[in-house]
Amino acid sequence: MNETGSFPSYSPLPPETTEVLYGNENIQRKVLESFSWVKEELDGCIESDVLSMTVIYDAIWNGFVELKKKGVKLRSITEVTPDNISYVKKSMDLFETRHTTGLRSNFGIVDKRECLLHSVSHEDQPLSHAIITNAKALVEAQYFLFETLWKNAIPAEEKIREIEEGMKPQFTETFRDHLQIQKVVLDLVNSAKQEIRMLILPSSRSTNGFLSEEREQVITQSFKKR
Amino acid sequence: MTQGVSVRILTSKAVHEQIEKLIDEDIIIRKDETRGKFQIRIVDMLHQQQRQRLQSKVSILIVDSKLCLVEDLEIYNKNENSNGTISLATYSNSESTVLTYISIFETLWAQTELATQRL
Repeated sequence: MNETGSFPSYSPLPPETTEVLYGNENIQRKVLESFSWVKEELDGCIESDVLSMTVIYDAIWNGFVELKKKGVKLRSITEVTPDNISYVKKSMDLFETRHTTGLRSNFGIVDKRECLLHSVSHEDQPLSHAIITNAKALVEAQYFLFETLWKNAIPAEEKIREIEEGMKPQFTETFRDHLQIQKVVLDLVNSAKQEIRMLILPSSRSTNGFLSEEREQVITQSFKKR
Repeated sequence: MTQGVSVRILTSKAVHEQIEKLIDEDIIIRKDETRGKFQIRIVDMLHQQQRQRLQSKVSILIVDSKLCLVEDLEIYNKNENSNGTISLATYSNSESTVLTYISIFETLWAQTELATQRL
């Protein structure tokens, strides 16, 4: 809060500042302070077992509700698990949420101008340490990290369906490692139960200009499956 | 031991000959081309215009109409320092993506059949 007892309408941190915060209260106060001046977007990464905190703590949750009412775009990335699925569903009332497996990071970025990274201990003070910064280069780097995670994450709805209904999620992956591609091709052929369709055209890859050794392996495996 | 999987391959004449050597069996490219459930059709039979439209640098593998892997062979040779280890492939179980590649494959398969009948 500022001297008049109200929250500022802009980041109170002096430009290019980085601070370390200790203790639950300090960190929560800083988070709520940020809520007061955010205008456009709030992006956050939250570990699976930390997500409940954002839903359970009334002050934080109500802050999110107010942001939503103001028209702030809210995005979050977390790991959806059977244990936190109810919290994920609750947070999806306000946030566009995506899932990424094994996420290990807790941070929030406000209007691409300020970033708060926090660690979580599960003792009496869940929010024990945090770093808050508005240093342009640091915030940009963290925002880039968020966007990269966001692009690679899947919609939380998909993961929820997978957990609740046992539906296998759709995926499209890109491989650049030649050995990995070869392994996937052979695994695919070996997994076939009904039908294999192949379009193979002369490859400049092989020394003889036609079938590479890898392709030969695929053909012989397919022939055995017929 | 065979496992009853239907295998259909679209390829060039040169690759077909190589496959025959590889599996040490003749696969007759006629209407009765089936050898067990292993069928090969030759794209060289297509009209020149159709062949030109065919992207010759891409290999497609579709399994059980559920999974597809599309490999771009062009990239492989572009990187002289890669020592032949760089490639690019997309792998998907997306229904719409798999159906698109099935459609491409089946269209070519039908066209080669028509071309075979004209012979």
